[in-house]
Amino acid sequence: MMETLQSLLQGFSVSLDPMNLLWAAIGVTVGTAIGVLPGIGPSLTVALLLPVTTALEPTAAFIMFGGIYYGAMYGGSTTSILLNTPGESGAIVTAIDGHAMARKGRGAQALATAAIGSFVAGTIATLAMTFVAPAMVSFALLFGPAEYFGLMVLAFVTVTAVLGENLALGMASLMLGLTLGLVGIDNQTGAARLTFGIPELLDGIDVVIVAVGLFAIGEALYQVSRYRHEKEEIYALKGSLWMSREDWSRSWKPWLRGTAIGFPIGSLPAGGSEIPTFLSYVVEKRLAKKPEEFGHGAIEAVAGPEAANNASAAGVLTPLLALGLPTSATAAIMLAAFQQYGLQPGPLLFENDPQLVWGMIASLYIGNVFLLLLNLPMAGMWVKLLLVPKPWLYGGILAFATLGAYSLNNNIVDLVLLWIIGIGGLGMRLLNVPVAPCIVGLILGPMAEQHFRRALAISQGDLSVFYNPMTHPLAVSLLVIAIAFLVTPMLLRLRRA
Amino acid sequence: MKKSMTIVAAAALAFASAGPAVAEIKRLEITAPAAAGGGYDQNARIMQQVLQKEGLASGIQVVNQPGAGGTIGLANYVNNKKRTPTLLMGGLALVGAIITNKSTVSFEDTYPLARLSADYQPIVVAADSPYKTVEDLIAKFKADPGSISWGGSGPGSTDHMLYGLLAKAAGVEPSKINYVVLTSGGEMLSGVMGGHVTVGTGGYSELSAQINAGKVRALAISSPERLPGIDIPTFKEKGYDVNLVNWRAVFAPKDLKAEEKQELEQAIDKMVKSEDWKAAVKQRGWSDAYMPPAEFAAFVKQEHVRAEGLFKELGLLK
Amino acid sequence: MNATARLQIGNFVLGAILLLLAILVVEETFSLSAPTQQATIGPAFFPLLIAVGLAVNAAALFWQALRGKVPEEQWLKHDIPPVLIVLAGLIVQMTLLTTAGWIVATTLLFATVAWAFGSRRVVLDLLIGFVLSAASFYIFNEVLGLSLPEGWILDT
Repeated sequence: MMETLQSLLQGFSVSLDPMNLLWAAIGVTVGTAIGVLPGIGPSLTVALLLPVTTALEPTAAFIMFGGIYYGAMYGGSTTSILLNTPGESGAIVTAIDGHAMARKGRGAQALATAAIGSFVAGTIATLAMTFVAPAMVSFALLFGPAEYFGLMVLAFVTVTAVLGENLALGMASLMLGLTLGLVGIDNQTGAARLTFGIPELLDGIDVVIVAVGLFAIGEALYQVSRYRHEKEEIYALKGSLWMSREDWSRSWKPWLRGTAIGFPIGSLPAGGSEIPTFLSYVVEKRLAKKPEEFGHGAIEAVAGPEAANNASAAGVLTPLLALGLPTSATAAIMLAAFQQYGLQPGPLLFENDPQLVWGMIASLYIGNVFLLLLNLPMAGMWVKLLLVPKPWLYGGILAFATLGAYSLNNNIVDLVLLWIIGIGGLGMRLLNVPVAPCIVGLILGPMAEQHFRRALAISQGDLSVFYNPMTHPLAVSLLVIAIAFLVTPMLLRLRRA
Repeated sequence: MKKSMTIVAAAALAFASAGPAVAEIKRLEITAPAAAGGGYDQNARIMQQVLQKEGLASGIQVVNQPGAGGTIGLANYVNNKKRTPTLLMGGLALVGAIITNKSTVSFEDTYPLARLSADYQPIVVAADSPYKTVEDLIAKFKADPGSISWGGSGPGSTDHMLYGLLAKAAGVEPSKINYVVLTSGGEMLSGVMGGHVTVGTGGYSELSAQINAGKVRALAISSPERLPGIDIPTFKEKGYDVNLVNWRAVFAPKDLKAEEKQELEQAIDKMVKSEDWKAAVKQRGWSDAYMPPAEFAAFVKQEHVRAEGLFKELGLLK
Repeated sequence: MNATARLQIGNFVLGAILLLLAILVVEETFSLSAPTQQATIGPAFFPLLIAVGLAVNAAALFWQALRGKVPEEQWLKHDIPPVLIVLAGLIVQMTLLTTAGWIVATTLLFATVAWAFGSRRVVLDLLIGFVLSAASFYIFNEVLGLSLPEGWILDT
């Protein structure tokens, strides 16, 4: 503990060097700026900026990287809230209530609770990474396929929170997502499913394409069908720019809970940033005093998932730095960046190059402060984005949405998919079908299937891996929690009735 | 504007380096049929840096085109002809993907320019695994094939090939392998370290940190002989005839003119002999595996046939 | 036609789409050339499960449509022509992207979208679109090393 503290202080002495501070600030700014664009998530942002840093010496480069990473993770929420177009899949949940807030003229408050929540979560999670990394890593290693399946089932329960008022329509959206998730090569056997002989479909349909298609393109098509009838100015900033006392008191608990959910799941090798945001949403909805506000601009539904998203970002760095395990696409690119300098993250790096590692960790704290300083004042400016006339606003959104979609694979086929899914997004809006369950299904469906089948392959068909608490205590507890989540509200309703 | 600048730069360079310099290739585009960060991408980016630095090419652009194990990038490379010079990265993993994805194009539709680097694959088990040696592992595998789970990155990957070759060498039917697909390097390592799968593999460069830190135990490596500075026995010396090089290479369009081919060959030849190239390859833990065109073309064919045969035995093909 | 009737038709259409998807999934799954590799649960299990889910969901939507039990929200007024213009703009961008390049294709997309949203200042729109796409092209390609297509404008 003392040793860690000492190393960290040394790290701060490295990262507080004026030049390094500058790199951190540049990283945060550039990361946020690029991360804001729809379809360009953290992994693409980091990949794009990788060559830019080659000119720098390693310590400066990684300090800048930390800034880019945190900036990009945060950037995705801005367009989610203001334009209903998430920049990355971790910001999808934010769009639901964040955009509803923006429509009521509370965009600035939504941005503020996202920024402060990201700061709180980022700082706590970075602290956790600094001090409990080894424990976190051993926890992560407990997760095998059976445990992941339990986690997926738990995450599926969250869908109930985003289904909307009409069950049949909400489920239809989920089923569409699950069907889209089937497309592509089956990982275990190599069989091509629903690919219709199109090679571009072999890898499946990218979540980014579906998210950008359903949200950005679908929203643009919907808006263009309505612009002649939309008379009232829905986007105007109403009242104060700042968070009220009530906003604060409704935000702080979700920030902390979001962090508690996001950090451990983010540190799992197959955890990701989406599942924590889903889970945080459902937890907040269950605990809220006014659950009926969810879906119509509840501030808790922005505060919680945003905190979870940024906490998971720090979680991802834990196994990367502690063990050299890249657990997300972004982490894999960061690993490549380390290798570019001939460095191999892992326990030996702490011994061989403490200055670099601790400098980078320290700069994550500083990056978080920069993020807050940059984004809090910017909230007022971002809201002005909504004053851009619609023809140009949506022209720009479509330009960047297509840029993001095309850059994924440098392939026109993705633009064709985007077009088709965009029409689907319009159709869903016209029929009041919620779009979020579709994305949840698309993300969770394939993962649940893979882990389920892997678990059974390893156990050679023995189903007890899912119910025997002696051999798989963690998997069984996760499944029990999931069932409890699902059944409790029903029982409560029965008792009331 | 950009172009006129490169011409000026090229002219300046031509003046500066007197003697029989290799003509500089202008506006070279290298397609890496994989996402940023992977082996193909890294090879391409090293090429970009070294070719530029050595004055062998200018205005080099690396284009990432991931998808379907690289076959999307290959298909687009073969089908979209460009007027500017273009190169394509490829390797053993792509040979596997061409076969498993039943790709309509293959390396036959390209001009194999040179093999560049090699990554040898160790097999690893958890540090506390009861299997201390390859013999231990194989004994159990023979007795009860299903009880050993082998983690790898997708059916038909180099990981899958390695396990297939090992099963064959051990006299177990390759289709009996309990192959568990783990989609990323992180999942693979944590799967092995957490004891969720019995065996894992990957490029030595990806696993070396964990091997050296004692987090996983390497039982054997797929190189033909012991690698300098790496204390892992080869399969050969353990008596298993397993030889697998995860090679990476560069390809050119098939229909180039003779002088264009020569120009590229010379540039690549100079590149692999440069100090920067050697240092970069070493830094990533790969081995230099340069093979000039004539030899390499035959090698690619040979690998294709070998993989095809192996996939039939693994049950991936009928 | 009133709003409820429209939404009933909408529910019906959505149900039909789900049912068609269910049939498609089943049909495709049975035509899978199953590899001989050993697998405890094959690649067909989950698709069939999802197909059943799709079919049940379709039935629920049909039921809902027939009983006239549809969401309360009123059907809003929508114009279809502008939607078609935006979709056409996206097609123009797709088809021109690799030939004419990012800048030309995206400038046209921007101007088309602006037109669809009722802007009639064509020259100004084209100009803004050009500045936007040219700026993004240079930032992403020259600074960040992305490879947006150059097209024939720059390829001479």
